[in-house]
Amino acid sequence: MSCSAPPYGRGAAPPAMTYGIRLTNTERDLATLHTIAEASPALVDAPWRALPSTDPAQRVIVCAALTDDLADTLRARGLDVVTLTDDLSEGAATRTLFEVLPPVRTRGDRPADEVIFCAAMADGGAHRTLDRLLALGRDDASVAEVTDADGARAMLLRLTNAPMYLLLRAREEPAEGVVAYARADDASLWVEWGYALPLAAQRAQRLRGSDRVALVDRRGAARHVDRALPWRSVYDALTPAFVAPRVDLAAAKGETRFTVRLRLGPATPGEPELWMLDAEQFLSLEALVEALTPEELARFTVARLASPSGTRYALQEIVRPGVSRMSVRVSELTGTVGYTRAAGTDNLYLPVGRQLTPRMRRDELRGLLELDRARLVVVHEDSDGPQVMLVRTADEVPLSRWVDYVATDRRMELERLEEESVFEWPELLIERAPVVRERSEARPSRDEAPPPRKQRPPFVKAPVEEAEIPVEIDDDDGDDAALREEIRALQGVVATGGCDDAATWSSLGALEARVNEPDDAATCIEAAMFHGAPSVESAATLAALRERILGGAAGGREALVALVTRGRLSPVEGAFLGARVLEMALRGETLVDDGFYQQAERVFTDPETPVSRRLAWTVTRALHQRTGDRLGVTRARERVLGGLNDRGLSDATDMPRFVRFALAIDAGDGAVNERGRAEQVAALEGLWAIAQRDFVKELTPLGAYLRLVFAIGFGRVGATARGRDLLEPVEAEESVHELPNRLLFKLYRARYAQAVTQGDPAAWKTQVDAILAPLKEARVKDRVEWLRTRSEWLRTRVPDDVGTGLKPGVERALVAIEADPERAAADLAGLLDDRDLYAYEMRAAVERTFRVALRSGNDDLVAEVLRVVLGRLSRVNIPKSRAEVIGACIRAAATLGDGASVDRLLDEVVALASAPDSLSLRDLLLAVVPGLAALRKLGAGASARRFLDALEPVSQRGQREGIKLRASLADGFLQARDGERAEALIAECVDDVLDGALDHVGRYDAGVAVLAALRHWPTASRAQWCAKLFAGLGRFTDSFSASAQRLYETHKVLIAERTIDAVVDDVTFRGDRVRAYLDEEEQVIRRKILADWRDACGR
Amino acid sequence: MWTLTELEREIDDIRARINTHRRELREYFVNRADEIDLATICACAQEPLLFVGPPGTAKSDLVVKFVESLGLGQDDYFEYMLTKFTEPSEILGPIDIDLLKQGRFVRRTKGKLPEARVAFLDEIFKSNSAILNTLLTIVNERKYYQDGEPVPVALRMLFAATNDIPEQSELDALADRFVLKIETRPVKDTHFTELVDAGIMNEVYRATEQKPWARGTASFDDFLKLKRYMDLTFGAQGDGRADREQWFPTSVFAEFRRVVRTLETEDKVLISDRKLVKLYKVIRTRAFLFHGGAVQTPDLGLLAYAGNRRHELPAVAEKVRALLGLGAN
Repeated sequence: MSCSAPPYGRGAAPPAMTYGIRLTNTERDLATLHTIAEASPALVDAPWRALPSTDPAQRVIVCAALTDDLADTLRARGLDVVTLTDDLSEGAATRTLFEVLPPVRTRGDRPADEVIFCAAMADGGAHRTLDRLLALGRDDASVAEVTDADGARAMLLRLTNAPMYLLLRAREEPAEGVVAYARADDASLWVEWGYALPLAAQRAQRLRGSDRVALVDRRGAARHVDRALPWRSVYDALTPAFVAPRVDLAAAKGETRFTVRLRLGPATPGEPELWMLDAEQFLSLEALVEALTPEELARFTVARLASPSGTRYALQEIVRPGVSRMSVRVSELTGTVGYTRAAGTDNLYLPVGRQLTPRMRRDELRGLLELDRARLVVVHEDSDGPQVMLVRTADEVPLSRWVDYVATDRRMELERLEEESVFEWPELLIERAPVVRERSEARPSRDEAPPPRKQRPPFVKAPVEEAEIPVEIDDDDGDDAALREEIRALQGVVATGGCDDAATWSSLGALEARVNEPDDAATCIEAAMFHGAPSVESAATLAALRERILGGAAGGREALVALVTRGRLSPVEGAFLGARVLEMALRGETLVDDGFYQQAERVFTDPETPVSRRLAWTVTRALHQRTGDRLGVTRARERVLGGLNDRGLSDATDMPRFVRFALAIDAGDGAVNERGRAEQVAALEGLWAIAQRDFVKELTPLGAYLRLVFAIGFGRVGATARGRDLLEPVEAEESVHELPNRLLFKLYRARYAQAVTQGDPAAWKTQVDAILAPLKEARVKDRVEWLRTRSEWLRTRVPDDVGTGLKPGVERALVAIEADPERAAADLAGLLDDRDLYAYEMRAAVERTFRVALRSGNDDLVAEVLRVVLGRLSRVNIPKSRAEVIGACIRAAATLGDGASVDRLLDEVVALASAPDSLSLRDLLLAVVPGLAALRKLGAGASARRFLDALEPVSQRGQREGIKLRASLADGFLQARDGERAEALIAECVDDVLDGALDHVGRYDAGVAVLAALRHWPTASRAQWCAKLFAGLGRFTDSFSASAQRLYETHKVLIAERTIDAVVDDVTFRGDRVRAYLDEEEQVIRRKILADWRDACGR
Repeated sequence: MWTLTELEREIDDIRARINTHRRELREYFVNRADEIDLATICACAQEPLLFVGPPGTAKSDLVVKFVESLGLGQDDYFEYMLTKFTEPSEILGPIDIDLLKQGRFVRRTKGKLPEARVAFLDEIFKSNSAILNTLLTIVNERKYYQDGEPVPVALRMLFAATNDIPEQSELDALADRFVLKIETRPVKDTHFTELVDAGIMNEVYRATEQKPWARGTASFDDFLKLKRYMDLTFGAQGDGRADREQWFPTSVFAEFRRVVRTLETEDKVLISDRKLVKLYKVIRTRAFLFHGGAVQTPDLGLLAYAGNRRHELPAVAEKVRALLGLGAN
């Protein structure tokens, strides 16, 4: 072949020529052919011939229809047009432009949108392709089968986004007999993947009207298949085979059931709804019932049940959504944790925090536990394992049906009733009842339970419309009256405190037992045994009395072992256990082995055990005397005295009940210190009148808070009806208040119940946590916590900042001291001699070491630590820290009864106060307050007067702190029996609080200090000062506000709390008469313990 | 340095010893055959290997036992856990103060990475950029700089471990240096009993200070010799054919290409030109080590460890095994 560029120019008449187009065997050829077709569509179907070529990089196609003009046009469009001088194409087959050029290999491996794999059936290509496709997880292909003219079968696999690997394999391994056709334009034309077909668009357009589609391979050969092939799922082309041995299983006849033992497992603790109570536990609810509103009372039902172990009472709380629960109080009062309803059942109750495991189908559970045939099913669990209690029938009645107005040693309540009767019920008569009212049969009988603590027959409030009906009253005969007179005389002797005459206690105990006061009798016998020599008989009497109080049937061997090993005892159980252990020890009996006594010794030397210190020491002394263990006696002494130093005496366990009442109720000799409840209620009423007049407005938060605060006050003095009167409006209007207030109201109501039922701190914390648990929103929580953490009543713990921010070395040394108190003095000396110690660290070290020493109960150790500290006092060179150290020393010296050291320390305080660079009054108070407390303890002597005189001029300095110091000094003068100066000082303080130029925090602080000082004042004058301060409640402003710029009147609420504290002062808990009694008793008990110890150890 | 003629005489023995060594080491682990095989191949090819996996999947233990089995001296092995606070001095050695006073910036490299022949770098991707750059040079060019002058390192085998491969572009370069990355997975779900037995035996070995694996059949020199032999073989074109033509059958090579192409296009696995060549090298090494001849399709299974990103590793491994019909691991 030879060809050349056109040898002629424009204008010359060209000869008839044959033209060809030079192609490059690349993708460029596609554009070339496209240009030809575009320039002259007629050329598409004209006959074309491809000239044979040995050069793979070029090829020439010729067409006779290419005229000179067309050749020019094509040349002008950039095509390589050649002129053939020889007609070398003669003989070559003619084709259309579509066919003259085979598909061109494209560069790269472009993914295809949709592909049809055509695989021959005969050589396994189809099988292999399917296998690979499925191995790649592609089961989305469609399959169809076709046959060619020769009858050869092929499988078409059509899929989108075909795996690159299969495409590559089809293109590169032609021997496998698989060709992948990619869709070229639309579904009419498919070209082998990796190749491009010239004029594909035109070709597809022609096929579009046809019922067949073309599959064009790399050679240009086309297979035509029906457009509407019967495509089916790839799974229809598979016959799955699973090569594995086969075992046939048939259903066996019958059903095998396996016995699985149900057990109780841990579950999320819920609140109890049911309590199974014995008579004594049931009666212990009395205090709660008194505190409940009628609505709350209506939420309880009771069923009286007979069981082999005696009568039981099923108490149920009806749970209502959104209503606060009473369960914590019930559990605390009854000493039982109760039962919660099992999820998914109506009448199955499980112990709190337990669930039945494994879980069962409900129908099976119903059948197993007979839930359908029982009213209640209670699963109880103790050390013997679970026990199912079935209650088939129960006569449930509301708890309110069990309640009558029984009161009667609550004089104030009676007085109020009388008072009300004057104004409201003129026809009410109170006269002696002719007969004692019979009890309802269903009511817990006193025969079932030990005699009640309140022995006076119940009073019944007469309905207004039946005022003529007489009420029942006590029916003492003449002998009984004489007996009671004798008792009162002896009670008067011991109620003064410090009675260490065993005979007096013993006589009183015997008399109390005769008038059927087992509690008081037992307390007196305990005291008698403490002060005298315990005998087997007295111990047996004591044990019998305690057993009676406990409810009987608890003195068995197993019961005693269970008690002594139980984690936490109730006061009644502790007292009973002590009595029984004492009796057994004195008899020389052995229960199980000596381990029992060792455990008992641990229980009774533990300050946490809620028994009187007298009993604790009597028991431990007897136990160690039994074995002659001197070291044991010494250790026991240290532990008992340590508990005493740490906590003092408890008014609940160390004070006889009659003393409590005598101090609270008895008018006594009319001295200025008298703080009868009547006066306190009157004072409260006076304050409430002020509140009602000036501050309590309906639907205001402050009004609600004041109602709640006063309700708690009334509840404390036993005027629970008055308290309930105040609570009711708050409950009624609660919905109009904001959420933080509503929660705080709930907390105050819980506090009211706590005050009335005298709950312990642990129960209070549980209750607070339960109320606050649903509180999630931070803003609401902030507001609630703001008041709650500042309120003495609502907080659950008091922050302790002693020993924060210490150097690690100091902290380690103090931890070592706490672990080994014996080395306290030596280690503290080493610490204080360390010149690198900061003053605040010295203060922390001293306070913590004193705490350890006092807790150890070892007076020698306390004295040694005091000596160490006094010798190094000058090293504490920061006045504030020195004041705190002096305060700690004063407390320790007062505990030891070391008047000389107290005197010396008070002089130090005076020196600090009058030094030129004297410390601030606030810091001075750190030493003054313990100083005044020590004076109270040791009695006011000459040093006390000197102390007060020296500080009085100092107290004129400063505003806020000055008021606080003056208030403390006023208290001191009062103790020193200088009432005139005390009154003058306190009057000054009250005026300054109300009228002084104080900021809101300063006014609040000063007010709190004055109210604290007033606690020791005689009720009458105290009430007068409190009323004056309370009348100025409006002056106690606040600064706490939320983002809405609203003030929350927390200072007013807190001042109201403190005012109630000052007026009521827990009546029988913190009153100064009580305090004085306990102080007196503490000294006596301490002396006796030390004397016993010396006797035992021969020192 | 050994000549091809010298090596040819003993290469079959070396190969046998290394294979025995590899199989023996498996005895001290549970279901870690792939990891040990890969470590052996990488040690022969002197290519770094990265172990990727959660804590407690024997990554460190594998390397430590492997290294101990080679009977190396203390100074020949360097191990370090990298943190973002690790300084180059901790890896390369401190600056020589005396020389610094003379104006020379020279490191005292004794006992550090430049003088170690085997190294294990734990938590390698937690290091800072200063360390990363140093490591890049060491891994790639087998050199570091002393007083501005490049100095070759003695490093022959590098193992590294990481909990994760961070998706940060600045770490891509280092990640790419690790041609093979193997994911170590917990085996307790599938080999509970064996794991406890083997674990307790390891505790016993530790308590009694026994190291039975340290009596490895192959020596460090065996690995060096095999590497040398492979290098010489790559360059030997006895009948004028390239190494590929001689040792990589066309069909297997086409398969190699297809798999790589598939991983790139479908799984978006970045396989750089450098990495492709390295892959070829390790595949060839595996083929020679395992069966002493031309590459076979199972040898391409190494591509299962060619993933770069943490999430790619399991997908790539599964894909490659499916493509090659090797079955699940």
